[in-house]
Amino acid sequence: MSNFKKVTVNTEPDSSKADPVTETFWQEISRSLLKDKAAILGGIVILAFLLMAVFAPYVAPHDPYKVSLDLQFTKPNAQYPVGTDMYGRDVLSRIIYGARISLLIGFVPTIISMLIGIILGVISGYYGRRTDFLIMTLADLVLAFPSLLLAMVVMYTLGASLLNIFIALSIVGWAGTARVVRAETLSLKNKEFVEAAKATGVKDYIIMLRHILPNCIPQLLVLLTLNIPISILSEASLSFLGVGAQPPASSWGLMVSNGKEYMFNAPWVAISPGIAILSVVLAFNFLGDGLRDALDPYLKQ
Amino acid sequence: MGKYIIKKLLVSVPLLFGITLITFIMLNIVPGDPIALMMKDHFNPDVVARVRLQMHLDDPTYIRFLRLLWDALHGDFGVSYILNRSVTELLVEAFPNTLILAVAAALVSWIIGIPAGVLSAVKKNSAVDNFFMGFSLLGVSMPIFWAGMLFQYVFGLKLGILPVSGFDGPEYLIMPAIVLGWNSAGTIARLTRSSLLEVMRNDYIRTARAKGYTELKVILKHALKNSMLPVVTVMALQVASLLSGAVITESVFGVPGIGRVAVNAIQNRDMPLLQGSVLFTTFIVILGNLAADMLYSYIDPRIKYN
Repeated sequence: MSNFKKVTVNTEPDSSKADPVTETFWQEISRSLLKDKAAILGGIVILAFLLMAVFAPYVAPHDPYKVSLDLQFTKPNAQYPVGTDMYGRDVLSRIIYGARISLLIGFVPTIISMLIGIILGVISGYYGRRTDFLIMTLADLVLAFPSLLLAMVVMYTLGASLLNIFIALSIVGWAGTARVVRAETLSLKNKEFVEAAKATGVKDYIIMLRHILPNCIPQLLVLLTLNIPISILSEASLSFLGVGAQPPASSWGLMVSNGKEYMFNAPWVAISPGIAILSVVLAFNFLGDGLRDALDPYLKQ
Repeated sequence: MGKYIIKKLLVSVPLLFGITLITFIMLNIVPGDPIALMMKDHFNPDVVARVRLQMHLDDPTYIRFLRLLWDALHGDFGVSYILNRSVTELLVEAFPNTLILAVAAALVSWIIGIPAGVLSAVKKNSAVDNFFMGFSLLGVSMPIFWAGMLFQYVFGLKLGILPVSGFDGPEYLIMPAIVLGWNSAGTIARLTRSSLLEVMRNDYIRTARAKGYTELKVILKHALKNSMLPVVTVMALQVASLLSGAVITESVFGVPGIGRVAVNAIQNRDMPLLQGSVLFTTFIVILGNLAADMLYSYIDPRIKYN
């Protein structure tokens, strides 16, 4: 269609662009991210939820744990904007406090599993041979399981608790990162700068830390943003199946799950925490997609 | 081609062994006596001892693993603690329902995903693009059970046009298939879009345009076919995510499939049943991946079989 036109437009010198030579990696990313409206929106929503989680006691209109049976299933009104649940607790305040658990579940297992994946991936790619075979076989095994079933089995074995969710999601999640980092390491380890470092006697772990891993940062950033929502959704699924977060700690997933029996007479109890999950997950996906577009030149290298 | 398939089949053997080993280890390091845990309040030491003997639970661990392996090779996954029936029988009974649900959901995901991806690519960066990509992203970003509950509320209760739960006819399939299919439509749509955009940069597309074909014809006749390669691979890899999603969808809509068997097994701490359903499902996923490999090499003969 307008392909030809676009190409000519792009080749014209663009004065609005900063000088690509003096621009740093981070400047370049933020410049192209700031052009992406969906990514900006995603970032703002994530920030808002993070602030809400941190300042929950100041933001929440009511005590999220206060049971008042005379207020059971109050319809959304001015005092209780999203109504109350089966124990007469304010649903909005519970969602605000629930952000703490749900965001924690988004970040902690994702970071743990990515750290495991990074370490195993770089070792696997760098040393090759038997080490590589061993680690990659293990990764293939983990990836062969449908992830939810594997997480269910881990939760069955360890029992339902917040810590065990971290463990289960880490066990399930590391293999994907390991594969990405390994592939990147394989392509980097024969580059001149790595050879040069080796020739001057730099220790292996320093080569991996200083010369190989910094080059994986673009991929890892995208993976991080896109893995966090997966963790949040996985925990929600586990909670729904009764092997996730346990009361009194209440994640959004658990709130939806607890509200399911009252879906037909008090739908707000289950629907509203679901909207919170949807908003955060959507925000991370928007940001992740924007980040992937912004990092595209680095990812294709 | 034959050689390639045989090689792939041979690689699956250690994979199946590894999966059985991992599942066995994880389910057998559960602290406490599984039989006592299962009996909860009805605990009776005599019964526990008898059941342990019956289930060979007092044998050394490696013997129990070898027995599991040997039996699994013969299609025998033991006897359910709770239902006192052959696990294989229960799984074979449940599997067709999961299969029907998964196939219907896959169809839904293609029907939504491929046109959405094509339209987005054609109208790149327009309102149409944003709408379709947003719609597909919405499906990925909703917890499946929450979407299921919303559907039940709106279409089952408020509008009363679809049955809320159960599995007694084609109308029972509509909601679960849409909920599960929408969830994976996003992946298909994004992939179709990026792959089509990639293909549209090729010289032969420019040639087709130069010949004066309409844009629609260029896309349908020349671009779409070639852009479907990565999409087909993902379709086959979808087996894993569909089966994962089916666990939840089946629980929400009361579909008597493998997923619900697994969930019931967890809730009742029925170890043989859980072990059987996990192994069975994972075997299916490996078969799916194998099929993906074959399909891919059939569609794109350029792929080297070495």
